[in-house]
Order: sequence, then structure tokens, then C-alpha cells
Amino acid sequence: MPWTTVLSDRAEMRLRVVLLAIAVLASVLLPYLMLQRTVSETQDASAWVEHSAKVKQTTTDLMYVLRDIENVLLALYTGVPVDGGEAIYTQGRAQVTPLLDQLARLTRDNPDQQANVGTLEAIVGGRVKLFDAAHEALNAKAYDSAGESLAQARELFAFRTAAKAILDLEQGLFAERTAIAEARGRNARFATFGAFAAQLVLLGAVIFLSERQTLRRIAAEQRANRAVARSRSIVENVREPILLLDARLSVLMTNAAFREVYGGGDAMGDALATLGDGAWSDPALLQRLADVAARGRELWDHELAQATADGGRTVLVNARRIELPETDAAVAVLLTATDVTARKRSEQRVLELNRELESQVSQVSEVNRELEAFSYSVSHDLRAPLRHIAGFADKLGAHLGAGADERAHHYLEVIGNSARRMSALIEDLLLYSRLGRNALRLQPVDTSALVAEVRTMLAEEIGARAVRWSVGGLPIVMADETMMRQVWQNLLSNAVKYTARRDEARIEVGVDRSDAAEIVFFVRDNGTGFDMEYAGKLFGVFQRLHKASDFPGTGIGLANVRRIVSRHGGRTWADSAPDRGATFYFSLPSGIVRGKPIEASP
Amino acid sequence: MNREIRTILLAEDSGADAEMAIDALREAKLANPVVHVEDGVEALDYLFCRGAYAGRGKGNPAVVLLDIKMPRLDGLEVLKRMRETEGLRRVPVVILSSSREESDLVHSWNLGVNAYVVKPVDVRQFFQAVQTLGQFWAVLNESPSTE
Repeated sequence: MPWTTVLSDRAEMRLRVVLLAIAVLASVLLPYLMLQRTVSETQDASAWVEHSAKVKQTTTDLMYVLRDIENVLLALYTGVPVDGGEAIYTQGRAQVTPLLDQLARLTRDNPDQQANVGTLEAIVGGRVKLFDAAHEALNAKAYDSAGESLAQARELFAFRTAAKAILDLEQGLFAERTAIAEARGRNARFATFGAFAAQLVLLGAVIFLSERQTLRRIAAEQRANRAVARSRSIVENVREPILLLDARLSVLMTNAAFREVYGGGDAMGDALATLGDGAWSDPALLQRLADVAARGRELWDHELAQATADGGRTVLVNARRIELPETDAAVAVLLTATDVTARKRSEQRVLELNRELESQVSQVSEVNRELEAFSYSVSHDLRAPLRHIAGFADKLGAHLGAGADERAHHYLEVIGNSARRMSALIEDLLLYSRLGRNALRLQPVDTSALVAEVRTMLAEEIGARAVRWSVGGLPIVMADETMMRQVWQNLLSNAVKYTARRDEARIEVGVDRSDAAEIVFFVRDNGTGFDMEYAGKLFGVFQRLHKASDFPGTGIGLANVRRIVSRHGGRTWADSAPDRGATFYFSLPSGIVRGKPIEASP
Repeated sequence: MNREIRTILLAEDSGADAEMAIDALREAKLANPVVHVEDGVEALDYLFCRGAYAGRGKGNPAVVLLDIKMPRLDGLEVLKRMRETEGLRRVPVVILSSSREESDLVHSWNLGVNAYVVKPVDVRQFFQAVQTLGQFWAVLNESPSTE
């Protein structure tokens, strides 16, 4: 895994932990704070409710106390005996002021209610005064005055309305406060529920994230394991021996190919020099490998000869230092050994063959030199006696003159002709041998011009005969001009020679460029032709398919053609049937053809 | 004109070839005496008036006919020495050879030969070849036909 990915992963993880902590804090703290506030608010609301109840209770108590006092006074007034009437009066009278004070205290927070209480206080004060007057009057038995005071108290100081105002207001406040308290309670439930839900969600998220993280880690580990397994499998199965050494050149790892060749099933920790029966004990190699380990110098195709039971092996050793992070050995030497024994052997073989070839070439040139000396000798020495035979036969004929008979002259003629023919044969053979020896002088040759030139030279031979020429456009070729002239001379003079018995000779010269690799020239005639059965002999030296008495010649011409054409890298062949004319072909490689064919007049 | 008749020097090691050449020259009815030597050394001896020819009269031959292949010193070597020598540089030289080998031909022309004749088996051709070397008529002397 690349370092950048690892780094970003770590940063991401840290961020995730921080976020998680914040979420946990929020989900725990916020509901707590909310709950806390709700509880206090609920308590407040309850206190208010209780407060309202107290106000109502006090007001009601006050009203009962006043009614009790009034009832006692009315009973006394009407003369109805009341048990403990005086006690009730005194007791009630004592309660009035504390109750009013309590009411005032309780409603201190509410100005409206205070106003109501103030009104009630005034009324109650007025009533109590009249009650006190009525009580005194009754004690003095002044019933009329008492009755008047009581009636006044009822008329002037009716407290029912004021009390009702207090009760109503308090009832309103009570309802309001109860509603608030209920709302607060509802909110508190909602908040609690919300916090609970949030905690649930958070917990789910934490579980989900941690699960996902775990799965990811497992997947990554699997991938890493697979990659390791794959690498190991490659190293194991590669056909080239691979070896991993530590800095002291002890084995850290080998692959199957290595173990197969050099043995050592488990060579871990063994020194390289001890492996494979000393195949690796070469001091120069060990020195080089130590350099690789110590200085990081690479070893490139170091050729190492290893002695083995089957006659030795040559390997190319490549080694380089590699870093092994997160292991005990910080650096290691990776070494591969390519077996080049077969290549080495074939190189050796090639060298041997080359040497053989060179010696054969020198033998061939020796033979060539001898051959040259031989042909020179043939040319000069062999022909001299022939010259003498022919020359002196002529002289003898002249000397005998008319004195000799017909037969003697015939014999002398045969002697002279034979010597001359042999001389011609030797001359042709020398020419043929020269064609093989002389260097090719390649130059652009205008085939059209060459053919025209040869036709002019043949004019004498053709004489009065009717020859219809048909010459197509012929290209310029890169060739030896002298040799190409020889070729055309031979082919065209053959065509002229072998059409001698036709009333009208037809000779066609053309070129076929359908094959990209070569250019094919041909000379077609309507002459005597030949039997294809003997076509194989056609281009041989001194091979003739016709009797000399029919068509004279030494039989060297086509051999010369073949030799010249093959020296240019081309081929020669022919096609014919007896009495149906013949076509002679020769080809030149396209590489030596230049330019476009020049249109020639027929 | 009291003109000294100059010789024709024939250098030819083959007796038969020499005989045919001499016959051909005789048939041409030339008045010039033919001096026949059998190798290159003798040819140079004659040309430089030394050795066996130390006592010969002064004067260069009218023409020198040189065979190429000769013992001791070959015709091309003789030709080369002649062309290097002031007094012999302008003497006409005809190379006689049985060879059409190109190297011989080129070599001879490079050395400044005047004519190159391939020795024909046919004596008549040989005679014609020698006879038709145009410039010869300027240096050769025809013998009186009344001989």
C-alpha cells in the first residue's frame, strides 16, 4: 500500500475518533442538561399550582370565618342560643387578620390579585368593624343597633364579589400554570425521548462505522494476503533460479527453480558458497556479490562457469541490492541465474563453424588461384600446339600444292578444322571461367539501348532473312553492362539462329514485372524449339540439344547466360516444345532495377 | 635515298610460332631483316647493344614484336623497360599473345603498346593482323617486287 494512502487513512481515523467523542458528549450531555432544566421547570410549575391552591384555600377560609362570625352574631340577635357562640366569635375574630395577612403575602407577586386582595381587605375591615359594633350592641342588649349594624354589614360590605374576583383570578392563574406545567412536562418527555432516540441513532452509527471499518480492514488484509500469495507463487514458479541473500551472503529465500538446480530443500541461513556442491564458491563472484551488498553495485550478466556432474553449466548471474523495509535484514541481494549453457554451446559451435568456413574459404580461394593459373596456362600453352597444328597443316597444304592428291588435301583440312574448333572451345571455356571470376561492376544499364545495340550487331548474321522483331518497353537495371551485353547477345543470337528455317522469324523481347521481388525478361521465338525433357541440360557447359551440322555452336552461350544472371542474383529458365518455338527467361532481383521502363520502338 | 634498312625484332620463345611469324613476314615481302631472339633478356641485349649484340650496328628496329610469355623476362617487362628508356620510347611495339585475358590487355595498353595481336592459329589471319597495323607502312620497307 502506498504511503500516501496510509497517511490519509490515519488522518481520517483520527478525525473519526474526534467526531465520535463529540457525538457521544453531545448525546449524553445535552439530554442531561435538558432534563435538568425540565425538572426544575416542572418543580416550579408544581409550586405555582400549590400556591394557587393556597390562595384559594386562604380566601375560602377567610369567607368561612366571616360567615361563622356573622352566623353567631345573627343567632345571638335572633335570640337563638348557640353553644360556645362567644368562643366561635372570638376564635373567628382572631383568625381574620392573620388570614388577610397571609393572603396579602401570597399574592404579593401578582399586582392584579393584590388589588383584589386590597379591595377584599377594605370590605372585610368594614364588615369586621360593623360586626364588632353589632357584638358590642348585643352584649349591651341593644338589639336594634345590633340588627342595624348587621344589616349595614350585609348591605355595605358584601365581600362575596371581591372574594369571587380573587378566586376567579386565581382560578385563571391556576389553569394557566397548570397548562404551563403540563407543557413543560410534555417537553421534558419529548426531550427525553429525543435524547434517547439520538443516543440510539448514535450508538447505531458507532456500531455501523466500527463494523464497516472492521470489514474494510479484513478485506484489505485479504487483498494483501492474496498479493503476497501471488508474488510468492510467481517467484516459486518462474523457471529462472532466484535467490535472496542477506548482507553476509547467507540465504534468505530460494525459489523452486533454484532448489531444483542447486538442491538444498531448506537452505535458509546457509552461506552461498556452500550451496550446490560449490557451484557458487567462485571467489570472484563472491567478491562481486559482497560489493553488491555493501555498495549497491549492480551485477550485470556476470558469466559464471559452474562445474556439474553432467559436464558443466554456464550461467549469467544478475544481482542487485534491494531494500527490505520492516524486516530484520534492512538490505538484501536479489540474485538470478540464467542458464545459457545451450547458448554458449551453440556460440561455440558457431565459432567452430566459422573457423571451418574460414579455412574452407581460404581453401576455396587457393583452389580459385590454382584454377586461374590453370586457365592462364590453358589459354597460353594449350593453344600454342593447336595453333601450330592448324598453321603447319595449312603450310603443308600450300607446300604440297598441286602435287598432292585430293585425299591428302582433305586430311589436311580435317586436321586444320579440328584444331581450330578446339581452339574455339578453349576460348569459350576461358570466357566462361572469366565470367565467374571477374568482379561485378554495377551501373545503370539501359536494357532498351542494349537490345537495340545487339540487334544491330546481328544484322550481318540475319542478312536477307525476314525477321519480325517485337520489343516491349524495357527498364533500366543496375548491372554489369559488359556481362548484360553478353546475355542479350547470346539470347538474341540464339533466337536468330534457331529461327533460320522459318519463312518469317518472329522474335519477341519483353519484360514481366508482376512479381514485386524480381523483374523477369524473356525472349520468345518461333524457331525449332527443343524437347522439355532435356531442358535441364540447356544451361550446362558444352550442352547442346541440336546437331552441330544443323545449328553450329560450342554450347557455352546459355551457360554464360546462367552464370551472369546468377551472379546478379537472378534465375534462368526456358519453356518450349519441339518445332513450336522457345521462350527463354531470366530474372533480376527488383533491388537492382531502377527507374521506369522506357518505351522502345518495336 | 641512301636509307639504312632497319630490322624487325621478333622476341618469341616458341620455335613454331617464330617460324610462322617469320614466314608471314616473308610472305609480306618486307625487305627488313628479321632478328629473332628467344627471350626477354636477349631482346633487351639487342635493344641496348650489349651481350651477344654488343657489336651490332647502331639504330633501333623498325618494330618490335613481343610475345608475352617468355622465359627469364616476359614481354610486358621488356615493354616497360623500353618505355622507360629515352632512346627506345618511340619504337613501335606489337604484343603477340595467345591470350585474350583482360588483365594482359589492360596491362599492355597501360605500358604504352602500339598494337596488341592475339596470335591466330590461321596463318593468313596472323599475316593480315601484322600487315594491317597501319603505322607499320611508315617504318617498314617493302622489298623490290623484282627480287
